[in-house]
Amino acid sequence: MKETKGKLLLVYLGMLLLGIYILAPVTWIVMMSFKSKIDVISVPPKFIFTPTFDNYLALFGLGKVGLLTGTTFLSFFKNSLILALGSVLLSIVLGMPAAYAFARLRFKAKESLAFTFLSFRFVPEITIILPLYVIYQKLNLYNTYTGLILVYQLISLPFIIWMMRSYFEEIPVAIEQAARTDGYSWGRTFFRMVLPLAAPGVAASLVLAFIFCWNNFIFGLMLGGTNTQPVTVGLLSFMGTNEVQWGLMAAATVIAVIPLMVLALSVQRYMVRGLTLGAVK
Amino acid sequence: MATLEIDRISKSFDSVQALKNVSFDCKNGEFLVIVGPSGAGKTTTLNCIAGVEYPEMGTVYLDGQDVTMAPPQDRDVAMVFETYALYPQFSVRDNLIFPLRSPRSRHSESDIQERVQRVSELLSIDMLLERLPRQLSQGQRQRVSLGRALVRDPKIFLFDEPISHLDAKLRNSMRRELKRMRASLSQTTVYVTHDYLEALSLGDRVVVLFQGEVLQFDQTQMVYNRPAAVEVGLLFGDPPMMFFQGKIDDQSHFVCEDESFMIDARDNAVGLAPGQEVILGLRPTDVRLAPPGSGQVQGEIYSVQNQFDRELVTLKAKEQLFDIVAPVSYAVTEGDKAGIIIPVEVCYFFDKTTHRAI
Repeated sequence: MKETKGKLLLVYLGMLLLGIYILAPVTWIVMMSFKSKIDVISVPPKFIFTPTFDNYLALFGLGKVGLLTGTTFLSFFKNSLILALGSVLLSIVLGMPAAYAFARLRFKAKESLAFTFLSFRFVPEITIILPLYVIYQKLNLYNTYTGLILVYQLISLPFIIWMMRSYFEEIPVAIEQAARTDGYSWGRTFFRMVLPLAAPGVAASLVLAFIFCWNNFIFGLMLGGTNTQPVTVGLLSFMGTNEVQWGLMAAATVIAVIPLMVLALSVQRYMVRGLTLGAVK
Repeated sequence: MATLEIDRISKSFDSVQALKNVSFDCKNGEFLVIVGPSGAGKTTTLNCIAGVEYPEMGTVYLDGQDVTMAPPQDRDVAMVFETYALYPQFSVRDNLIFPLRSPRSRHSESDIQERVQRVSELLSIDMLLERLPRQLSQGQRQRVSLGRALVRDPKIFLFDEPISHLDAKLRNSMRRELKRMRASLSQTTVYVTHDYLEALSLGDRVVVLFQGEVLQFDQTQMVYNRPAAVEVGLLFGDPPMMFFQGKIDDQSHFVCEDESFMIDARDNAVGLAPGQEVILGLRPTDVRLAPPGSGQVQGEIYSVQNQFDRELVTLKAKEQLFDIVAPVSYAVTEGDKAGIIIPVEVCYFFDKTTHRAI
């Protein structure tokens, strides 16, 4: 009895440490975003301070604290939305038929083709960024939404193909065959039977792909300009030559994370299931 | 209602040839059973008829029309799947309605309701209409999958081992129900099974498939009484047919290879040549135990299995083992001497190399 109690204590201690490890930086950022310019850099750091909304107001072009660049934070935020949504949308249009084909059809070199798609994820982005930069300049894709959405496919497309493939494979093929013999064409069968059955998985893979795209930094930094760069790159603009606007940066980070939090929480149920399924396969 | 003709279809998966020149036909209103061990190509054949798979060679005619490459929705066939393949997100009612509301079918709303009612009463699933498939037992799911086919008036019904996953008791009662249904519906039907009892009790004609080839295509009784190959004999009957290798001598006697017994085959010798190497097939239900000294085989009782309604006696003569089904009253014990009477008309002779009947 005593032994198990001691064990339990250790488990709780471990969980507490892990919780601090995960939550401390988040708490720190949130606190910073409510601090005044002076409080942010005070040593030792202040845990009790008078909260201010100046940083948030400044982000939207209001209030006392000024932005360093001409563009507003909101435009970066808008860019992020356009890029992540556009990439996921393009990936689903391209990836869903591919995933279905990988799951259901027999064709030559199927596995090696599927692996080729996956291998896009293995390559560090930094290794391809220079040639891409040259290509993008020549093709006039540099600093365009189209160009960035195309290069984001390296992130979202393999992911969508592999996740959705495993969801399609889970649906017994006999169900499709039954619907076909019941008088439904392939297209109708897909949209009335296969897609609804795979819906939770589809939702989960979309959200994860969206998060990966949203978090990307290097493509926006190298291949985009100020009118197309996402919020991850936009944060850099708070680092001037004279000063770093820590408070603004923290507030921007908090706002940038909100869409991800909302999405993740709303599909959390499916995501946990989806990830474990992917793991088993 | 329709006729079906399968003309020399072949199909392979990777390096495995699943079907080799499979041919048979099914008359209007006929109940055809395809029987064979697992891996024989039964389901592949059915899938080619349904159109969910396509043969690489050969032709499928439905009502005289070539439908070999036609998509399944254009064929008007109803299929019952081995795994039932119910639509998990639909209630039982919606499962039954689904084929009736397909883009191809024209049914009025009242007709749809009436059909669902009639079929669900026929299969006693009318109490389950609002349930989801996952809330049903195996037997109930199986009946729903039957119902989903029976609500339609297709050209042809296809059944893929519909009752083989049920327990023995349920299987017996479903076999009875299928037989009744078959009498009242008289629809063209192709039924796949590995169970010879289902084939014997349901089929008008039987196709025996083995390793992708048709071994026999004949009237149901003929498949049992005149098996065309060793494998057919092995598939039909319980306990299974026994086989003995041997030779035909100059007097048209069958002599077992270890000379443990011989049978005068003069009355059954059509096609047998002296010196020919053959396989003799015998059914344990066709031979009789006899007192020592009588009958063609002499030996010692090897084991006795009491099966309550009958006794399965095994007799050993030299290296050969004989199974004999005997009435319970036949009192023998291990070690007794006994003989076996083999009537010549129950001897099945097969060619040693081709395994084909002689």
